[in-house]
Amino acid sequence: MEYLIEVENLNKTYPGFSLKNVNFKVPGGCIMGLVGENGAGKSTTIKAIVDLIHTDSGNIRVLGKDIRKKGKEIREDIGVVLDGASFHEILRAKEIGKFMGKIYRNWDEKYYQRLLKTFTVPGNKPIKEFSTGMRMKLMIVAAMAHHPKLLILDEATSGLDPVVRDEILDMFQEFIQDEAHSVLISSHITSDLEKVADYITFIHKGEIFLSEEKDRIMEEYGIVRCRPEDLASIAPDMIVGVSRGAYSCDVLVNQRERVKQQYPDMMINRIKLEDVLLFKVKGDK
Amino acid sequence: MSGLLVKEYYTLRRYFKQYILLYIFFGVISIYMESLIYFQAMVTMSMSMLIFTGMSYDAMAGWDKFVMTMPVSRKEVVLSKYVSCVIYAASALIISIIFSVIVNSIHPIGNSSLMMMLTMAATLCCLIFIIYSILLPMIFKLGVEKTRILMIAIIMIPIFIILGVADYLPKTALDFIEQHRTIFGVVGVVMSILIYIISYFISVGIFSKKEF
Repeated sequence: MEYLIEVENLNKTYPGFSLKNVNFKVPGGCIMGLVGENGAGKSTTIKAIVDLIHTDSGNIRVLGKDIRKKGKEIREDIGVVLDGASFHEILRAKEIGKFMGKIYRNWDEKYYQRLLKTFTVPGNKPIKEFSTGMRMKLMIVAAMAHHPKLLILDEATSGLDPVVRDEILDMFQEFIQDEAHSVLISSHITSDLEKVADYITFIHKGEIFLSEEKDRIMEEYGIVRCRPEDLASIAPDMIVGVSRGAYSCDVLVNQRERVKQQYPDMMINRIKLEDVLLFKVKGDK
Repeated sequence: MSGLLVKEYYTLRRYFKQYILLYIFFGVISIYMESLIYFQAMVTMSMSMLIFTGMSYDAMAGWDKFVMTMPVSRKEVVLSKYVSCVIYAASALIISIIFSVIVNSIHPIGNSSLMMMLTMAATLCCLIFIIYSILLPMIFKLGVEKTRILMIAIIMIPIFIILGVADYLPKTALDFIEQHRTIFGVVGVVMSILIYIISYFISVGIFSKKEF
């Protein structure tokens, strides 16, 4: 399988925070969601992938090439939307096309104009008059207009209303119909990713604790509700996290079918993606 | 890199319109004062401030971080700023020359021969480039906001030193400079260009290590 992003043993230490041995791969033709609470390390991971920070150790290959050596060449073929990085407030979408066309070799002005129209982004209004959603749409349109192979988005859908969010997620779905394309999108809003992502990578305190096909996670994980005294009877290797209440506990297990067979009288529910995060962050083991 | 310069143009072009009005105002005052040097100094000063305006906008938008996700090298980002400075200084020079040629052809002002103008322009440019050479690496290191406070000191100190030294220099030394002013001029220009180039490499070093 061809991978568009390969992160191997990435380490980066800041005072008070560090990424520890981050490993994951984004295959072609898919959308991968990078999920974690605020401050979990999503943005730092993304910054390392696009070479905005110097890493302490590890290898990062993007589109099959080392990002530190071939950065400029790779960046011709990726579109990036980052939190807190945008065009100048006084610029207009039309003007942006003029200089982006000189920055990207493959900038497609006609396609840019068409996308602006599709997403109803005004070409002649300064960005400072835009709403949050409009700004985000412009950023995404600008990231798509040079026909990238890979889109990397950091919290790009967070400020959007459901209608716009749907439009954009649909666009991503269409984008990855080409097997050579992929999207890496970080978010703490897991419901967005539940809808569109093919793979989910969970990060917590700078460590990846799960990177798996979404359908598999949804299929195999389950929440068992049991009395506290029953907890000890569940094999520890199946337990991902426990949330203890006064009279009952919820246990997140990673092998729903096995638990069902072993404990037929326990109630097992299906999960939502955010349960995995909640149990990991708030639950104990 | 041309894309970065075009971006600079679109960001600042609203200022250009304001500057036209401002320059008409400076022009009127300088004719009234019978001093073309006043016009030249004001134009050079306002033009050279544009680089800081541009970099403030960059900082506000998080542009430095954003541009590093595009197919642009860190060297090019730095180079685009150094080239912009040259463009601003050159524009100031051209505007001043056009202005003085027009004024002189209508109503010659005593102390303003073209030679005098050019000497003054060269001196101003040298001063500006030396100031840029100190400020640009500082901005790449500390950001515009932190540098802003230091900026005034950095601009004023060399001016005071030059004025102070000129006052205390014995008359024979001044005469010596006056006699060999071409040599001093050329050496001054070459020195400031060299300092500017060294400053560029320092900025590249700083910016390459930067993390966003």
